Amino acid sequence: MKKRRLAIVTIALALIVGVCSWMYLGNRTAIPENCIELVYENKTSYVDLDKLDLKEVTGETINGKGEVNTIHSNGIELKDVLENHKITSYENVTVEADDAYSAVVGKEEIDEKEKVYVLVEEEKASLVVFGDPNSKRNVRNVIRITAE
Amino acid sequence: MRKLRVKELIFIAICADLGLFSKRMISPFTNIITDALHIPGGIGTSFSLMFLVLSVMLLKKKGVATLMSFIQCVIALSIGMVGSMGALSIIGYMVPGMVIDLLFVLTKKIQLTNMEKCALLNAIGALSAALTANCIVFHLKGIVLALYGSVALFSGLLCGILGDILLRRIQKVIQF
Repeated sequence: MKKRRLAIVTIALALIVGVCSWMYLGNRTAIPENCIELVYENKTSYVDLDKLDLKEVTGETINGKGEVNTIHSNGIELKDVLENHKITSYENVTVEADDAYSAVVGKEEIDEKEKVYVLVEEEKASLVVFGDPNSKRNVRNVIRITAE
Repeated sequence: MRKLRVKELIFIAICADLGLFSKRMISPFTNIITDALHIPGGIGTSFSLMFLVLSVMLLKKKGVATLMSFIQCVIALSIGMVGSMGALSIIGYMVPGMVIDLLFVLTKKIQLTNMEKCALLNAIGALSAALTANCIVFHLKGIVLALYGSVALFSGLLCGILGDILLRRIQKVIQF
């Protein structure tokens, strides 16, 4: 009887996980390969990673341990990505990863020269905020950028 | 907490280390599941917390999980294993330990089998760890938070059952 009680709870939880996954994965919009979804004023467009004008980028980030990491990669300033899509009037930009992790960057920081970049490596995009004292805003595998 | 004997302290130290490092060891496997579900984790922590629950259930003393989580926290901070939580990982480590201890005390007078108790402590501990990480780092909302929480709860329950199986085996060779 007692073993059955635990089995029922286990099955119930498995069902809840199943329903939540179905609801979450079912509502996820499919993003074309090698693209980032760009959302602005409820309109969606796509940034093709292959068509981005990438340049060599070098900068330093500081992780949670306080260690300084020097990054050498190819990328483009987030400001340029937005301007290419005629997005200039916004306050904050939310950058979201494939695993739903997200970071918010303000317009002032985005407008700072050589600070906020979208790096592209092995057909995957990542956000990096150089000089940020908290690497929490480094987002890997970016799939969505929302300007508000 | 009653005074701990040397034997118990050694067991606590071993389990604290196992809990801390096992998470890193199994993360390549757990990432396969969490990547497929597009959530930022939750399963590795459940496995890691199993060692806290195991110690609490074996030693049957209040405060053991909190002590272990404090040890884990000190080790993690000293070797720089703090992940994306940074200095706030103190909260990330301590909260599940305190929740496990609190539940251990609250469930003392409730008729539960050892397996049920292990499963309950591990599941709620894992959920508290997931919610703490969400508050500090992830900031998930809505259905993705529900999925992240339910995966933590479910994996915590399964790890709790596994913990009980280990507990029975350990009890055969070590008596406290």
